[in-house]
Amino acid sequence: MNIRQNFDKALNELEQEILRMGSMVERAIYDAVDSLAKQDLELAEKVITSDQLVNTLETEIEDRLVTLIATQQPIARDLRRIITGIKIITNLERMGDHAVDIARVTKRLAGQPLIKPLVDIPRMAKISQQMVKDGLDAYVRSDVDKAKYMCSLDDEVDHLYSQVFRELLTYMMEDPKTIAQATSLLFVARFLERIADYATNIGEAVIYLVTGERYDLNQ
Amino acid sequence: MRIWLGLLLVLILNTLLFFLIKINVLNIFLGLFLLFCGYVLLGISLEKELKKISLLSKITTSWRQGKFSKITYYSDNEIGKIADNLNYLLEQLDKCHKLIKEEESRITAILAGIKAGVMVLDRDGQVILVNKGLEKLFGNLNFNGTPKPLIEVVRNYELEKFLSQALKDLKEMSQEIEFLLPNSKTIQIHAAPLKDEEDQKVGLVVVFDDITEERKLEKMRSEFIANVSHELRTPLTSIKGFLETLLDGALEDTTIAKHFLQIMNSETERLTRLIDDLLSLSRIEAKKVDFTPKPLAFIELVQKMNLLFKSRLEEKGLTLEIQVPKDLPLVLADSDMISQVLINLLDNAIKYTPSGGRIVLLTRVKHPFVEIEVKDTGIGIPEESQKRIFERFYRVDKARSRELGGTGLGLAIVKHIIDLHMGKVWVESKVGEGSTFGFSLPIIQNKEEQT
Repeated sequence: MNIRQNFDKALNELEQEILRMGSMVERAIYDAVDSLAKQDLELAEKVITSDQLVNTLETEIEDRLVTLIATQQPIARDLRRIITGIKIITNLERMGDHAVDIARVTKRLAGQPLIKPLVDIPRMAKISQQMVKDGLDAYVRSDVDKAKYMCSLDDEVDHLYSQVFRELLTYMMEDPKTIAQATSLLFVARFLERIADYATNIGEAVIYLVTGERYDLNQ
Repeated sequence: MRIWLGLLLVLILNTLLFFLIKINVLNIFLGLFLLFCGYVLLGISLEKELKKISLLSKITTSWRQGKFSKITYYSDNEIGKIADNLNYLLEQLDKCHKLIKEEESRITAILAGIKAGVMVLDRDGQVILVNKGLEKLFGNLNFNGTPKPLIEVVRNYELEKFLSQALKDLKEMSQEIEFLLPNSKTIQIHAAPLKDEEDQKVGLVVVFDDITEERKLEKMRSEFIANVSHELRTPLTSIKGFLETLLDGALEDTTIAKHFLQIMNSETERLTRLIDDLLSLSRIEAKKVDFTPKPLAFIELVQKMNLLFKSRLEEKGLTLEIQVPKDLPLVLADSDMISQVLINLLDNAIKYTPSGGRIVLLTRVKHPFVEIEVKDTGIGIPEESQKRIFERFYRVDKARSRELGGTGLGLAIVKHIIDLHMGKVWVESKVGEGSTFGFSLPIIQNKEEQT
């Protein structure tokens, strides 16, 4: 096997590792929101412990990518593939952290009846999850259109976020006893909004990877 | 043959020349001329054969590019034989090719006909084949026929972990995995090793079975049993409690005893109601019920309802408004059953509407159905409960419903009765503003059916 083939093989393997990590983060976000809706402490605990694995995977992939740069000195598209990989794992790792944050809220709210049934938050979660999926799908298929489409989904998440914000604010103004829980729920909405933003970052990275041009999905 | 002839000619000429040199100088020129002629003759015949060979090579090169045309040139020498052999080989190849194609299309047809998702992995865990069922299961699969790592096709690390284990052990394995998007699905995955002709294991066949519905039904069944036992136990516990108190001496005090007996009586009534509801529900569900749909003038039924609920409406200070046109077409329905539906719906509307409220019963024609709606200005139903409101024992607020004497089965019975009539049920509601429960019944199409 020559050097070029070696490089390609190493990079392909790393890209698969990134997808593996993506799959774990997708699961973590889903479980975190699920644990909140069902008040399932066990599931929340699972999300928190499994994040360790995501973190380890991130450092490992990053190290290997950096080694590739150091030893092979790639240029043009090869270099972009590596840089995109690093960007994606960084964003995935942050999403994982937010999943843990949501799981922590589940633990904090354990045993308390919710001040209102969750409606907009699961909706936000669903769209954010869809965006993470779309981002990774765009990555695996080098699909620029899919990446660009995420922009409109992000608008929807932002809209829902401000809606949740307003609603919870009303609850808090009406009854100060709800403040503790409403703040926690507000944070959950915020985490989901951030997750959606990280997903658009992945979309941007994919566009950069394919076209070499920068594109702002967060307009 | 011509080559040999040419060579022979050159040989003869050369020998002749040899003798001629000795005889006459003039003849040398003649000899040289003859020698030249011999070479030309040889050249012409050689070129002819070479042309045929180059034609042969041209055709065989085109074979490499996939254009399988026969060699049309024939001759009786060795080159001709080679061409014949090659033509025979081509025919055989063509036959094999067709056979493989047939086999392939047969396999594709079989795979496409299977509802379950099927995926084939090679030894390195690369996806080499998927069927339509799998594409349907996952929506849009990232696979176009060229081998691809599993994680790029279906992004689920649990699945990858399971399948890489199956690849390592190369034995049959099953596992249930939950897939998340676009909708959460429980899928039973069965992996079996794939063997080649020499019985060597070369990959995996993976079958994906969607068992989401089964799991949901199982859960519903166990919930139902838990619910039934709970509902039956509650009145029973209270009856038993009062009985024990009576036995312990409360029987002596007639006023207390009478009060207790009244409570026991009402609890017994509740128990009876519950069991009646359960029985009629199971009868309707099993379609064992005496279902005799007849042409039914809806307006008569509605007037009966008005009479039936009159006192209760007045008691609670509610108004019932009936908006049923007189020329409403006849519907095909079982009058007793539809009465029960209306009783259940109106009963609910009265229960959950605060005094001073308004209940409207209206109908409209939407061919080939009549739609009937009961609208109230009651407390309403939260959005997330609306989907489940027709389920058995589903209650928006458990304590409140029981307090009002509900069995938790009324709407389930409504749904089953309307299902039996091939109609539909629906609910629209806003918390604090009121609810609308509706159902549809088929209109009788022609006059013959009315008799």
